[in-house]
Amino acid sequence: MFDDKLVKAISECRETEVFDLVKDKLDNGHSLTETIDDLTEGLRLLGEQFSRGESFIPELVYGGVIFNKSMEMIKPKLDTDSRIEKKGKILIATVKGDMHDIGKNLVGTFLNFGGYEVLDLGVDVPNEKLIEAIEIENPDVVGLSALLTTTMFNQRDFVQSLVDKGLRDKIKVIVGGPNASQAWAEEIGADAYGADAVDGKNKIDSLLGN
Amino acid sequence: MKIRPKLQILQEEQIRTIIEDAYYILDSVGVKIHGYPPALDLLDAGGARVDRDKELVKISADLINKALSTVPSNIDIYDQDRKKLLFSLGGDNCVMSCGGIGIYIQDFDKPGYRRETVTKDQIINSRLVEACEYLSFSDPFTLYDVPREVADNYRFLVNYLYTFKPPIASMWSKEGFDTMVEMMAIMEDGEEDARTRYAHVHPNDPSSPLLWSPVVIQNYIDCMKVGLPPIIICIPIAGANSPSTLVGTVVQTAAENLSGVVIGQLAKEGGPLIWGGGPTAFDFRFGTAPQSAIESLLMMCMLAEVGKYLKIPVQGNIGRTDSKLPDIQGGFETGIGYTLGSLVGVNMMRGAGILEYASLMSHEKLLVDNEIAGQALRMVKGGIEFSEVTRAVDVIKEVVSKDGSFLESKHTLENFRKEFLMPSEIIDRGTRTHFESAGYKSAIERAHEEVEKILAEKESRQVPQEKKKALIEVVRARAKKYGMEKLPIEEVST
Repeated sequence: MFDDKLVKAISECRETEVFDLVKDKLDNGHSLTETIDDLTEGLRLLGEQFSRGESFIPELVYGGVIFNKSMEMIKPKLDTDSRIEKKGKILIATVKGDMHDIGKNLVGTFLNFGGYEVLDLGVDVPNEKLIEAIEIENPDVVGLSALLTTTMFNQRDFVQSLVDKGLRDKIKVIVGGPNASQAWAEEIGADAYGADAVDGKNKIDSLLGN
Repeated sequence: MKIRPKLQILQEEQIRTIIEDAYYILDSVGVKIHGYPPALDLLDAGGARVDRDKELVKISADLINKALSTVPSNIDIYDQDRKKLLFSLGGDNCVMSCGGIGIYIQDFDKPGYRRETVTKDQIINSRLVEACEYLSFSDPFTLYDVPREVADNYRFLVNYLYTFKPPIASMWSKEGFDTMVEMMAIMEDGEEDARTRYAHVHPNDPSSPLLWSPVVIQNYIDCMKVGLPPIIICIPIAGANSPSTLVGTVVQTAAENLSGVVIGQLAKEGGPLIWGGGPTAFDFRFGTAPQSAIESLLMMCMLAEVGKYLKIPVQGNIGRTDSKLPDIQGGFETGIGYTLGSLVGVNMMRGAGILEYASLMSHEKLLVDNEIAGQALRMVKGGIEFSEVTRAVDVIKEVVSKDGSFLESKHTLENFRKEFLMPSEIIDRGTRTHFESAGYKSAIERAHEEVEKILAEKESRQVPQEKKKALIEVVRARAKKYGMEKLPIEEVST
């Protein structure tokens, strides 16, 4: 049984109320798993409201912020993080020379809501840094965004770097950005092209068989 | 006396408040200049407070005021052969340009579908722009039939060959920029003062919030140095990378633009630049950035009012549509944009023919937009003549008292051409009989017929053969580095 009060509070982005309820549960030794389930259910409802056109992106994003802050309160009391089941690990970044992050951040939000662990390396990320992160984090998919015509070549160079390092078969690559296309993804040897945030998340679902 | 219909969205006091806020932001928050140290050197030497580790520059009011005092308030724009003065950007003068920057094209016989743009599409677009009476700038696409590294120079080349209208053209690398300067030199014929007769403008898009990325800042400074008027076009998306309030986004964009003014004037004191902008709404349902939402248009107009107050030529991403088709949404969005922009006096409106968040071009929409541009310009350029003659009291008295006819009056003969714009056949003002006998066609179908007619009947102005050859050689040399021996344009016979 969910705690309707907490579920409703997070689904309506009532931040203070969520934190008070979580704190109360932590102080009273309430089941951590149940509290996380309540928060997750609230996010799921928020996602449903978004799909129905009743909630909008800022609420979706802020719901994610509240969820993450709540998890920061809960995490110190958890034995390990591994208890939280995730559908996969996705590394996202904007390519070197490109400072644009709106699309990338939205993809991150939708992936979070979709149950993925998201590692966001930020903007202007050189390929060497991406490769380094892949070797350390071992993600399932890398999502690479480029807004500018001038910087999208770095998507191609990144795929080549994976080949050079012998990592290409170990990871899936999805590219996005206004100048990218399915043809571009095929041309550079990426596995998929995400036309927008929702499409990106759906393509990653397909790549991982989720 | 001629009345120029005018719309003022912000009161002067509100404009001054926005400017004060922008000054405060630049002085206290600053602007980031990433990955191009020469720009930090320039600002440091100019008196800005530079934190090199953070790549952060804080700019004082004095420095902004100094820069504003040297920016030209008008820019005269010439034909591509730099012989004929076409118009001046500044004051309340308005011109419209092709929307350009297309990366896809929609073929008339496949409505709703899109494909990547190639050479033949640019040739058609340039020829149509050349034929459009009310479009003053061309704006070439991204072309996909050449290596992407040289597509910036290549589109510029194709456009050069098929229209003499000044292009809006950005370059995507230092190499591309330098090649473009070589191309300009060929067109300038070695005339010493040719560079001061500006024949194209160059968009540079800083990233919001308050950030210049490496290629953009380098190109921007290079533009100023070689005497190519840059347009500062920040495209903040309200609620995503600028405040979700319209005025807040205008404040931030004004600060971004002012940073460009300071950098530009430090690079070349007295050099011309354009206060542009494309502040955009954020669709909170789909995560898209609709450029033709009424809020986007209001922000662009307010930003233009700030630039006009500062006496800098202004540009706006106005006249576009976010529809995926050249349909009724396309018509009304462009119509509202041009109407608002013209009434506010946005000097340069960049939008004709472009759909879907400035990515998809339609030849037919371009011609419809030319008609809309004509009507908007009729409103503000033609204006309304207010005089004894136009009040026409004597004529009313004479005709009515004599049971006469206005059609037969000399007053009508002398004035009707001055008062009324005659649109092309694309705009349906005919009788039902005419409509039926023509086959019940929509505006977009009539525009398609006009496209075919222009291509069949109108000859392009031709660049002299030796110049054409030299231009092609310059671009081919660059393309060879990326594996292309012969440019697609060399296969085209006309």
